[in-house]
Amino acid sequence: MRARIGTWAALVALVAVAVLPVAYMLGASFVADGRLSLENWRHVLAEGRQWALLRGSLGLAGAAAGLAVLLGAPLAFLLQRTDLPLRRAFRALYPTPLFIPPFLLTITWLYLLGPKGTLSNLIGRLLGRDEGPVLMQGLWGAAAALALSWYPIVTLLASVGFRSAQASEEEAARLHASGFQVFRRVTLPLALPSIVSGALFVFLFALNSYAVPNLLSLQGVYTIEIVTQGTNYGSKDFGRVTATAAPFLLISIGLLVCARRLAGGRRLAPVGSRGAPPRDFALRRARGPALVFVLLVLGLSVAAPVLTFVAKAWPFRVARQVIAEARPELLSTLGIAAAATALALALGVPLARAAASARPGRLGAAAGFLTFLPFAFPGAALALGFARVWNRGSVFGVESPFVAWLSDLVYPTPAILVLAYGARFLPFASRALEHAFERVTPSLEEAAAVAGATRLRTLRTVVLPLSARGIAAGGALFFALSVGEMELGSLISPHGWGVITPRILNKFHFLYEDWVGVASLTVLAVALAPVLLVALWPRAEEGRA
Amino acid sequence: MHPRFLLLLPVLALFCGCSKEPAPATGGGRVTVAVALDQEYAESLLRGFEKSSGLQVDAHYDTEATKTTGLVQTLLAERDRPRTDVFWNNELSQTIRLQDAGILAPYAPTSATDLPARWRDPNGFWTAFGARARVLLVNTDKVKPGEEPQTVSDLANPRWRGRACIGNPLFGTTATHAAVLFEIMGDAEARKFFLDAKANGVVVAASNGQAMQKAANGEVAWCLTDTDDAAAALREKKPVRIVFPDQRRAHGALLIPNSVALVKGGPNPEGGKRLIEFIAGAGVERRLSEGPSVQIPLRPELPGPALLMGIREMKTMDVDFGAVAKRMTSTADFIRDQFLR
Amino acid sequence: MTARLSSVSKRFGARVVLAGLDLEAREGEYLVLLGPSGCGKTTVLRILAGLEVPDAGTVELDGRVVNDPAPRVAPRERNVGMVFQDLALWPHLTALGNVEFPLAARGVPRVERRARAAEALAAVGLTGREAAAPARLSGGERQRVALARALVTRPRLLLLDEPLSSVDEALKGELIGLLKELHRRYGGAVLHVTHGPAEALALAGRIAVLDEGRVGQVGTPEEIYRSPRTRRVARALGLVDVVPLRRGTREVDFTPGANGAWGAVRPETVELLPPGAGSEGSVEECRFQGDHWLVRVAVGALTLRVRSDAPREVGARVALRLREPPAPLEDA
Repeated sequence: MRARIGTWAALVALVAVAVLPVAYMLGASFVADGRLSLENWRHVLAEGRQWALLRGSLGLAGAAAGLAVLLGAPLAFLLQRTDLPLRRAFRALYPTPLFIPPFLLTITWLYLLGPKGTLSNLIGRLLGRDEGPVLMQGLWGAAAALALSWYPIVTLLASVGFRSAQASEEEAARLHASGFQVFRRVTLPLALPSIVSGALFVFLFALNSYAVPNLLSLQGVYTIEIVTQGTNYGSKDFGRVTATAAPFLLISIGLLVCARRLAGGRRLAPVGSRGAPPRDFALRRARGPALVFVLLVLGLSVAAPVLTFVAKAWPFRVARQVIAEARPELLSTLGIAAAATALALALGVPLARAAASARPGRLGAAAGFLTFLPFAFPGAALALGFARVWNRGSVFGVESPFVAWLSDLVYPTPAILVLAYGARFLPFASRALEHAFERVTPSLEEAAAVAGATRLRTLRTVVLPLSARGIAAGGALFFALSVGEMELGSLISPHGWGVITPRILNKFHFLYEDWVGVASLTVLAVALAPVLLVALWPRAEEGRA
Repeated sequence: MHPRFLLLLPVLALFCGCSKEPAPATGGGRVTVAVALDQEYAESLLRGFEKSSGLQVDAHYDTEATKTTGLVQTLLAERDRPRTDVFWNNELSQTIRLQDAGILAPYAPTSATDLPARWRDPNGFWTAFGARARVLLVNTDKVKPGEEPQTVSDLANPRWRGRACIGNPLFGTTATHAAVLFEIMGDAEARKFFLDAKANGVVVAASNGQAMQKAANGEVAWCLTDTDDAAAALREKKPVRIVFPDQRRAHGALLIPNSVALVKGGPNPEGGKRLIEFIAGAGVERRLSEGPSVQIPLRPELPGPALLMGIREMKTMDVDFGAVAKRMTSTADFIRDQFLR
Repeated sequence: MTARLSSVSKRFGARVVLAGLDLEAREGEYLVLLGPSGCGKTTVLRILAGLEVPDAGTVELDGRVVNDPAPRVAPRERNVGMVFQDLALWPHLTALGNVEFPLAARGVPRVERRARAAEALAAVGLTGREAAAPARLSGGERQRVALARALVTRPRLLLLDEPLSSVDEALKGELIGLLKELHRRYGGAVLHVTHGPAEALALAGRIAVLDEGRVGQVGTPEEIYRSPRTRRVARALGLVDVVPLRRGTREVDFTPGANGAWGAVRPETVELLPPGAGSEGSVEECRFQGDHWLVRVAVGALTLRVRSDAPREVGARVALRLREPPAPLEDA
C-alpha cells in the first residue's frame, strides 16, 4: 500500500509538472476569439499546408530513423553477437553520442562539410576544384545529424533483441543451415521487434527536433512552423499554433505506444536458474571491415565533434576569456541541470518501479505512458505551454492569491526551467530507470519481506544496490540532455539565469569559431563527467557480506 | 520514495524563490527588459545604465534559435501577469503588433524629442532609434567591380540565377522587408516579384546571419542582409562589399529602426520609464553607431558608422510602419504558402 | 507452529486456483503438498507466507488469524522461513551476507548474527564458502544457501517451493538426506511443495494431494499410495491403472459391462504367471526399468501394467493374478 501511495504522489506531481502544459496546449487549440470553437482546426486542416508539413516532417524523421538503423543495428549485432576484437571497449563507448547535444553535432558537421567546411575544401582540392561539395545541408544533412545523435538508442534496444535468442533456438537451426542463414532466419527475426522499437524512438525524437533543422535552414517541417507561426499570428492565434502541432502530437503518441510495446522489458534471470547464452558468430575475413565500420561510426559521432572543437579552439588563447564571459551561463546551466536531475529521479524512481513491476496494473501502465507524453510536443511549443500555465494570477478567470504566489515562486525563478527539463527529458531517464528495476525480480523483494525486512529496508539493502548503477546511468543521461537543451532555455529562461546553449548558437552565427570551440568542449566535458563516474561504478554482482 | 531522494529535493527548493524578479510595482531596485538586439551589442550599454542609475537591469535576450519570436511570444504568454518592464526591439513591426495586441503602455520619453516625428508613435506607445539598413552584401571574389547588383529586384534578375541569397522572409527584418515590399508595390506586383525570385532560384537561409555567411563564404555571389551582419563580415576580413540598393529608384533603401516601448502592467513601470529615457537618448544612439552593431542614427546631427562609408548619404524609403504591421500576416501567409513551398 | 488454511479460495483474473481449500500442517510434521504444475501449490505457500491475500477463507498460524478481517500480519512478522522456487538469492551479497540478512533485519547484533549465519552454513555443509557470491556457487551450493537463509532465524514453519525441481538425480538424493537431517534437527513444521512423487514418498510424514483447487486426500504416504480415493490422487503418486470392478466386489471386471465402480491397481500388486493360472492375456510391451521390467498386458478389454523380475516377449501369452484387491476409487 505504501508503495502505491508513493507512486500516486509521483503521478500527481508528474501531471502537475508535465501533463498540464500539454493539456493546456491541446485545450487552447479548441479556443478562438475567447470561445470554444473548431475554427483553428478548420483553418489548419483546410489550408493544405498541414499535409506539406506532414510530408516534410515525416520525411525527415523517416530518413533519420532509417539512417540510425543502418548505423545502430549492425553495431549492436557486431558488439553483442560476434567475436569482434575490443568489443567490450566499444560497448562502453557507443552510448556517448547520446550525451552530445544534437545541435553541437550539427555545428561540427557544418564546420566539416558545410559551405567552406574543412573536409569540403579538402575534397574540392583533391578533385581539383575551387570549391568542395557541400554535403551538410538540406533534409539529408539534417537526417544524418539526427541519426548520428540518436543511433545509440537503436543499438541499445537492438542489443537486447540480439541477446534474447536462446542457445537452443540457434543450435537447432545450425543443424541445417549456414551461419548467415541462421542469422537471417533466426537471430535477426528475433531481434527485429527491438530494432523497430529503436527506430520508432529515433523517429519520434527526430519529428520533434527544432535545433537541427533550424541550423540547416530546413523549411517545411512542423517544428520550424510552430516557431514561425508564433511570430506571425500573435496572441489571439495561439490556438492556431497548437492546432498545427496537434496532429503531430497524435502521431507521436501513436508511435510511442508502438515503440514501448515492441521494446518490452527483459528481466535478467535471477541467480539460481539455468539458461545458456547463444554462441557468437565468427567473423573470420569480415573482421577487418567490421572493425572499420565500428570505428567509422564511433569516429563520426564521437571523435569528430571532440576533435573539431579542439581544432577550432586551438591554441586555446581565448579559453580563459570565454570561460570568464560564459561563467554565469555555465553555472546556471550546471545548477539547473543538477536540480532537474534530482527532480527527475524523485519522480522517475517510483514511477519506473510501478511500470517495471511484475503486475504493473493500470497505475504502472498510466505511469509509463504519461511519463512520455510531454516528449510528444516540440520543445518550443512546450515552453510556451509552460509559460502560460505557470505564469498566472487566476484559474479559469477566477483570481487566486495562492495561484499568484505559486506563480511568483516558480515562473521567474530557475524552478520553471527545472520543471520544464523534468517534463521534457523524463522519458529518457524513465526508460533507464525501468530497465534498472527490471533487474530486481519480485522474488528477491519477497524473499526479503519473508526474511523480516521492512519495505524501507528492502529498498535500501536489496532494491537500490541492485538498481543503483542503472539509476545513476539514468540520472547521468538526464543531466547530459539538460545541459545540452536549447529550445526551452531560449524561450523561458528566467531573467538573469540564461543557459549556455543559445549563447553558443549565437556565437556560431557570428562566426566566433574559437569561442564556439572552447564553449562546446566545456559543455561536452560537463555533460560527459557523470557518465564517466557511472562507468567506474562497481557492479552489484561482485558480492558483499 | 527513498529518503536519499528527499534530500535532493531541497536542491530544487533552493532554486524556487531564487528570483532576480523586480519587486512588484513599487519602484524598487530592479528593472526587467526583453532585448531583441544582439546581446553582444546591448549588454555593455545596459551595464552603463546600471552604473549611472543605480537600478539593476535583468535582460532577457533573443537567440539565433528562436529570434524575436521567442521574446514576442513570451511577452504575449505573460500578458496575464507581465514580468517585463521594457521591450527593446531591433525592428518596429513586431512592436506595433504588440501595441495592437494591447501589451504596451504609452510613454513618450523626453530624451527622444530630438528624433524626427516619423520615428515616434503619435500616441507615445513606441520610440524608434538607431536603425539597420537592408543592403546587398556582394562577394568580391565572385562579382567583378561594376557588375554588382544594384536593387533588391535583382533577386529576380536571371543574371543572378541561383546565386543570390536572402534570410527567411518569415523571420525578423526580412519579414518586415517583405511586408514593406507588399505595401509599396501593391499585392499583385509584390507577389509576382517573389514568385519570379523563387523561379530564379533565390537561396533562402535561416537568417540574415546565415545569408551573410553564404555570401562571405562564396557559396552565393551576393545576399540581401542587414548592415550589422554585413559589418560582421567586413570585420572578419571576408572578401565582401556593401552595396546600398535602390538608390536610383524612387524609394531607396529600407531602414529598419530599433524600437523601445513600455510593457503594460510590468513590475516596475517607473524603472521602466527611466530605462526608456536612457535607451531612446542620443547617447545610446551614438554608442550603437560607434560600436560593432553599426546602427545608423536617426538623429540627423549624429554621424553614421565609420565602417559603413557613405551611409549618411544613402537614399532611404519613407515607410508607414503602422500600415506595414497590418500587412505582416497576409504577407507571411503568401510567403509560407507560395514562396517557400 | 501449526498452520491452518480453512475454506481458502484464490483466483487470478478468471482462473480459479484455490476453491475452498482446507489444509493443516501440524506441529513438527513434514507435510508434502503434491500435485501437477499449475494446481495452486505455490499459491498455498505464498498465502501462508503473506505474499498473497486469499479472496476468501482464513489463514491461521498457531491459532491466530493472520489475514482479513483480522489485522493482516505482514510477512516479516510471521517468522516463517521460505525457500523460493528460483531460490531468490541476492546477487550482490555473498553466501554469508544472504544468510545474515534475516538476522540483520531483526536487529541481531553483528557479532552474534555472523556466528549464527556461519553456523547455519555449516549445518548445510557449506563451511568455507561463506565469502562466495551466488554467481560463483554451484547449483547444489545455491540450494544449500537458500536453505540456510530460511532456517537461520529458527522459524516455526518452513515453506519449501519445489526445492529439488531443478536439481539432477545424484544431487537430489543428497539434498533429500540433508532435508531430513535438518527437519530432525530444527524440529518445526515443514510444508514442502512438489510435483515429484519420489521425493514426496521419501520425505513426507503426511502427503496432501491437491486436486482442482482443493485437497483431494491427506494421509501418510502408505495410505495415499495404497488407498487413493480418486483417480487424480492415485496418479499423483506413481504408476497406476484404473480398472472397472465387478458390481459389489473388489474384483477386476475384465469384460466390463454396466458397472459402477472403479479401482486402482499398482503394477507391483499384479503377478505374472504362466497361461492358465489366472486371467489370460498377451504381452503388448516390455520395458526395462533398471531393477525390473514393466510389462504391459492386454486382458480382455483392459490393459494392465505389471512389474516383473524377468523380461517377457511381446506377443507371449501370460496370465495375471492380483496379490491384493484394487483400491476402490470414489470417482466414477
